[in-house]
Amino acid sequence: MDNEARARRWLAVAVAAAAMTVAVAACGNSGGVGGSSGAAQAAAGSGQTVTLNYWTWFPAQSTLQKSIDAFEKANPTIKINLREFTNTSYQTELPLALGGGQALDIVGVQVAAMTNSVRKDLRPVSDWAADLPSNWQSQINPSMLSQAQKISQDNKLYDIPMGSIGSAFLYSNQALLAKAGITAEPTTSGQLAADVAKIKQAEPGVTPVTFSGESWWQDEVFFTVADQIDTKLSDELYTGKIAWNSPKMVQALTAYQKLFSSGTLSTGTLSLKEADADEAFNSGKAAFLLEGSWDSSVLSSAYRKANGIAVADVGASYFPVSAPGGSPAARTYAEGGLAIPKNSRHVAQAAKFIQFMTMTQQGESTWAPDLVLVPSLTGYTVPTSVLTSTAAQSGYATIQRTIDAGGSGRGEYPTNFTSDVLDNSLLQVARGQISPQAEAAKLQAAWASGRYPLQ
Amino acid sequence: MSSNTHMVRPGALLEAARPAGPSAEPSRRRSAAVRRLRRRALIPALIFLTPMLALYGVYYVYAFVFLGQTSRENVDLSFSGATAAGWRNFQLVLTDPLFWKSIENNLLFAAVQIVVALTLGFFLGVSLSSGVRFRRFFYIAFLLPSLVPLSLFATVFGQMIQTNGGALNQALHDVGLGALAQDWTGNPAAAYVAVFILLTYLIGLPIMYYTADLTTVNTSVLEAAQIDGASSGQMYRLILFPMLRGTHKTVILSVLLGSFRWFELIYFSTNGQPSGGTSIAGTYIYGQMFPSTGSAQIGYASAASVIVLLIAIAVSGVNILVQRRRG
Amino acid sequence: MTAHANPLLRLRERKRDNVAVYGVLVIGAALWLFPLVSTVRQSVQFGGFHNYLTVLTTDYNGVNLIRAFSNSLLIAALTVLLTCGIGALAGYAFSKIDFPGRETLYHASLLLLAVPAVAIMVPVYWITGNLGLFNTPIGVSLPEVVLTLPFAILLLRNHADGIPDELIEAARIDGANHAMIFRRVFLPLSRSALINLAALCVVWSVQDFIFSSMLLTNASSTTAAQAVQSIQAAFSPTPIEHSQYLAALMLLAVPAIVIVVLGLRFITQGITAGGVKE
Repeated sequence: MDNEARARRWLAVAVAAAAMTVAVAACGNSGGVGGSSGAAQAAAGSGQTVTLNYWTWFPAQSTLQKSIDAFEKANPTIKINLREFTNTSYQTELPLALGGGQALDIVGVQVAAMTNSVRKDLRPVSDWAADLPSNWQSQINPSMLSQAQKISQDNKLYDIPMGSIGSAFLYSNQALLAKAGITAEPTTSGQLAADVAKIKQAEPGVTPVTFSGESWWQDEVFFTVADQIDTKLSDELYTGKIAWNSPKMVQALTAYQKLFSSGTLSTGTLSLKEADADEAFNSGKAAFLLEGSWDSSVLSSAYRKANGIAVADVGASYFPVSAPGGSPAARTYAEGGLAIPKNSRHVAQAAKFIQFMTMTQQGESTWAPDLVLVPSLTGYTVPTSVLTSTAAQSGYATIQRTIDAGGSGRGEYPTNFTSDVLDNSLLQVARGQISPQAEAAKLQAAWASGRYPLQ
Repeated sequence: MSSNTHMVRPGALLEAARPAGPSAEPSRRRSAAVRRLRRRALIPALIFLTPMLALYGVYYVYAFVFLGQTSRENVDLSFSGATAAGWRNFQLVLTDPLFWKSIENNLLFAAVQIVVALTLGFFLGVSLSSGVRFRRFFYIAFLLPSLVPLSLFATVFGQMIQTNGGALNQALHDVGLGALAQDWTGNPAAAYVAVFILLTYLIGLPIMYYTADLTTVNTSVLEAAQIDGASSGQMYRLILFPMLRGTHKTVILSVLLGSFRWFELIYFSTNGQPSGGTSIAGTYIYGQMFPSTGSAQIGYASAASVIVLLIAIAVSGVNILVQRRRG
Repeated sequence: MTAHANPLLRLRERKRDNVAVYGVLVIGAALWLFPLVSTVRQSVQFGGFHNYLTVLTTDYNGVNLIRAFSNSLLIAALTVLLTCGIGALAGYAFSKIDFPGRETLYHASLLLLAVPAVAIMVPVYWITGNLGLFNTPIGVSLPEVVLTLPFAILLLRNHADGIPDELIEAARIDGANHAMIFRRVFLPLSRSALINLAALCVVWSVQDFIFSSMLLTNASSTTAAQAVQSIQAAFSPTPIEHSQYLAALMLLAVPAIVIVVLGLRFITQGITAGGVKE
């Protein structure tokens, strides 16, 4: 009987455990998903250290750490805990974490790509404007600020952009160009094709042009080519002012395809991730790098030295003009938004950091010299001392000029059309698996199907 | 978890089909007493099954109901502000060519792995069982890719198949087969080949089945066959292969059942490239949940999930029926 | 062992056949180990073996590799306990208790054998949030258990069917109830089956990427399978850091390799023993 009693007890425990699972499942309310209201603020004890959790994907850790160190030095009672993600995994991780109630205090927001997927978990800037200087709005570039605001479906401002970026640009390894006998940055696709031929001949082991094969990058390159034909072509396509199978679009697709069919850009490069392409360039294995302006850091010799990039001199230019009669173009938009989630219990301290990053000379001077963004702080100019060669100086000037020219909005119209249809089929165009005409017709059909509303 | 029914051994279902327990005896007229006895057994049975029922209730039943709901809404990851969508999400999924391509690829990849398992896997299983030296070393070498985290192996494989500087093209150049080097994730045909190679790497489990079953079948007939002058090729083909018929079925069904759980396999290697050419059901749903432009479309992803679930459950159902007939 | 103890030896009695078998095995093993070898080679190409030390002692994105291993093992341990416990109870009931609706319920469970993790990702996210289990080991473990249970029940019911009913009947006549029989007869007789199941649970749990990456967003709770992706951003695109990333990948494989080498016997038995009739 003693045994039976023991067995009974044992079973009772098992059943109780199971019942608990059910009970917890039935009425658990300790968590919840999404749509949180603002968390209560932690009491600010004097002299107590507050730790802020900061998640972002950009700028690189090596750059941001300098900013954090400077901020912590100026604010000894605030510690910042940085976590950095890759561009694409961040788009997954941040919404999941915010929806899951993760206590984050500062988050980087990809202004164009992410504002709407996370805004429900963010505090509008108006909620914490009291923690900013009263004249803060006049300190930030108004057009960048309005871009950050109008991208949101409810037309509220959720983040303060660190600056703006543009794409696509062409960076060059000056030593490799010199070895191949190239004396100037190519400005037309014809020149680029000639340069590629020279490089192939002079240095068979070098990849002439490297770039990311990730699908999101393909539309950036394509729209650069397209906007060379008409600076607002990309805007007009997404706003429905012009059809995806219009003659201009076919012309753009033809020019884009020709870049590959002529061997100027190699389809072999399309298997690379962005980091792989950057690595190939940074280690001197590629002569040209096709990247966004966020990679302008490579123009800074101090940055190259600090990050072990063994390329002596880097130049840059706009992407060579491909279509006849076209002009240089780049799509640009505000980027590097800094926001405060609803879950944060340290709003005042978080706002202080955002102010430091975007509104103070001291803060800007920690990251802006790495050239990752055109800073949004009005009146701030990057010290040209970081650009030590004429190639870098004129390259950076060209990039800035092209961005300032105000092309179409980069990623201004978020819709799954871009990832589901355009990116994938552009890869087919690049590989010559579909003709420009057929591609244009396919895009227009998908666009008109109503499957992919603007978000 | 998504790979674990690679390992399900459906042959085991054979037992399930066998009428078990004393009451399932063929006697047609079940007495009232037996029926009463069975009813009385309900209470202890329920107690034993409560933990299972609780988990199933939450993570399957409730989950399916939840999916049924979200699949008919337009909603994002915050799950707030949902609007009714009716059956539109289903309509959109069912008319998306990429969805059908993904399902097709799922079945194609399963078929390829079955063929590889039934040929190479069979041969390796027999070879490993024939008293070779360093058996344990060989065994682990063949099993390793199947048993390390798939996210890891697929990532490593993805690095290998990079067109420029990937180890595969490099190795082909090194052994003088440079002409075979490919744009593995660019050319649709080459991408299939790359996935087929990856699937070949993952036949560790069929090898396990074969080696295990070879210890249970009587292979002494080989002796007589050899005396009759059979070549080793004939012994493989005409004696051993038919002898392991049961194992072949196990292999086929386990691959088929496991194939709908594949995800990491593709996500970390080709990520569906080129242009969705190697996309499978798992990566399709995941891509809808976490698109690189625009925000998560939970309703659409749920509708796709429901359809994939129905297919997966149907495959399990067929599996049970097949096993029953065998029983 | 005498030469002919294993009839399969006849397959390679002729020299030509013998050479062919060894040839295929050696070339096959070389090909199967190629990914491993080439990755190890690239991981030391820049920076040498020191990379491994660096990677082991550095936090990437707040993720420490040793921490990631222990997180994986903790979740695996929970999964093993729950799967074996719940699976054994259910396996016993399905085999040794004759109740109305038994076969229906059992077959319903079998229907869930192929349910993909991705397909229940949406509700699992919702459920875990509402249970307040984000960033907890149990929150990841429960859905893993649920996906493994149909297999566990299949395996353990088959095992239980192999235990003669007479044994149970005899115990019942002696006045034992099901709880006692389960504990004193069934569990001791099922030790080997449970060990095999446990080994499989460990392998599968350590492989899980979807649930851990979706439900564990804290750097400190990251698992090894998840770290493959989440540490990537912390490596700069420079040759040496690329080598270090590959070194990290190799290290992440180490625990799995150790488990496989040590537990190979149980893993093999778990997968294959399920269907072999006694």
